[in-house]
Amino acid sequence: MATTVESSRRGAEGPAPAPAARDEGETAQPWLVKHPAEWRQLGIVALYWACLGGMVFVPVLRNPLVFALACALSFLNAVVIHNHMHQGIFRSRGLNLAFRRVLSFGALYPASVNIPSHNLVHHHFDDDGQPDWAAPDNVGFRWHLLNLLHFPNVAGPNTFDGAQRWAAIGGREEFKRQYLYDNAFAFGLTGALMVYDLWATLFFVVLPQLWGARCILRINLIQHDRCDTATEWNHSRNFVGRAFNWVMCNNGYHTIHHNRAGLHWSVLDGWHQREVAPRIDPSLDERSMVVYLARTFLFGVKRPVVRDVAAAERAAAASDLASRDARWAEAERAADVAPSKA
Amino acid sequence: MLTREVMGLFALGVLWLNTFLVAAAALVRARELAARGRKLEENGSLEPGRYGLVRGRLIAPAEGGPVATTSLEQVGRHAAGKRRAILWHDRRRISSVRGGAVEVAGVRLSLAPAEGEEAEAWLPDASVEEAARCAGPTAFDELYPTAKKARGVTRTVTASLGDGDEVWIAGRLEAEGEHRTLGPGGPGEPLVIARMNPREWAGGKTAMLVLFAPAVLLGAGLCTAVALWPPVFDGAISKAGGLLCFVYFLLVLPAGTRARDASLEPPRRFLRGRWDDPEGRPTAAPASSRAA
Repeated sequence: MATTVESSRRGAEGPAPAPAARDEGETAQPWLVKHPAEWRQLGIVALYWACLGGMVFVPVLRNPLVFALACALSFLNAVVIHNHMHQGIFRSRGLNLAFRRVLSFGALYPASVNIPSHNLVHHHFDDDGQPDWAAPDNVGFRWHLLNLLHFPNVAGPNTFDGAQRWAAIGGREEFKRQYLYDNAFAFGLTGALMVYDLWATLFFVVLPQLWGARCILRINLIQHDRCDTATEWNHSRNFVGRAFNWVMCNNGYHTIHHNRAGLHWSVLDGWHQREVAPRIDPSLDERSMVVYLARTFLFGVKRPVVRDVAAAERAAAASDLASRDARWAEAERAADVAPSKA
Repeated sequence: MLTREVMGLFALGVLWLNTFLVAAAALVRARELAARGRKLEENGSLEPGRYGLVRGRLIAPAEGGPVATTSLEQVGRHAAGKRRAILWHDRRRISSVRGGAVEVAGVRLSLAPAEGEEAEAWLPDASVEEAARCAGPTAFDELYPTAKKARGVTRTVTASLGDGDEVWIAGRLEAEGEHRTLGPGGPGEPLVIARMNPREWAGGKTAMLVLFAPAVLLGAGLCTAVALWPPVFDGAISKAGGLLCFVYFLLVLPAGTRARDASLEPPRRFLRGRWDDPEGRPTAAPASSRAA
């Protein structure tokens, strides 16, 4: 399946990257990993495991600071899953598959599920007439904070149901195997820790795991609510703060990630400035996620109204971006599977 | 220091918050359905200018054909497994009313053509499933080779209501002289042509959701009680309760989405489905092989 995902990535790239971006990826030949920036992701995961292990085995570490850090790192672990499932971190296929198990334990869900749910379904929104499993309109409370809290309760089951249907199609045996191995490792290791110390594991491993898994689902609401998924450049909300994106491995640049899914995460900021900034409604280019969350969910009670956010896109110069249908068809051909929301 | 007591309270808070949210979402949906049911007051006196419900017998349009249809585009792909099968996945769905009329207590009311948001054809699940069923080995063989390809095979399942069908119709009655027409009302008031009483249907689903909400809270309460069984944290029952709370948390979320899906109006219900090869041939058999 790794080969398939790699092919899909290349297929979805669209036009060749700008020279600067290509140089960055090609001149660096780091040990073990494909790109020097990957060490940041590996550091995040290592620190996360250290926090979880520390709280289970060293009771003095069971304090609010380490617990909060573990929850934050769990969310970043899910961000790494996202990046890794788009573009494997390691040069070795075996290491990439093994790393999926490590990441799956951190989130208590199989990292492989990102292939159908994110890479092949979410990236195409509802273009095929069926809603994205993680579409913002899955929730409909009037008090918008409840939508943020409840969103994973709907998007999670949608995702796992959808992935089961997707996997039931012939020719996806390798995916099912990887999905099984991810689950076996994640739940097996968590279960083993429960045998060692049930309460410590429930409180200091499972709670952070669930926090990260649920927050990455919430990101779908945060990044797409009240955007126009029918447009090319205004389907996503971006968070462009430099420090935020350093920690988040550039996951704040969501529009360009959707449109050029094959780009390495480390080059998204430059591409965002070049292609997205001239075409996006300024309200979808937020500086700070914290400010956005506070303004939208704490100080704003009701869900923001729908606005025409595509005016900037209509006024901007045309881009060389292939049409969405063409990108989809290319990704489909390359992946050798149809991107169905089964 | 985060003690077991502090973390236990925190974990139970997570369980209860999310169980409440699942219950609240069900009640929000129940409120929507109840509001829809209220719009479907019977208009037995055929009062013009009012959106309401009438019962009658359909009369086909002058050019013939069905009065109302619900169409669902599906993509089929070959299933994993030892025996040939096609799995169907839903795509776009549309209802349309083509025209015709309905006779209500001896009065003939014309039906305004409507489509998309303005029309809904409500058929029982069994009727739509019947329309989607594999007609036999020939139909299966026609589609299976294409279903093996990456893009799959596309089909449209259409179920319809036509001449002579006894139906319930929700619509806005307009009168122009002697001529009366039923059509869509304002926003959120589509022209509904249903084989079942939509008001009763909405009432039944509302009741289901209203019962679901306390049921999930009761489940959380039982799990909590077991987890807090003395000696808390040290006893085997309390430990089993802790695990039970975790498992309940994982189960109550899909229960919420199942309740939501079960309450979707008939034109929005998922059909999906599966065609098994009527001749039971293995997946590996040549495409053209047929039992003698």
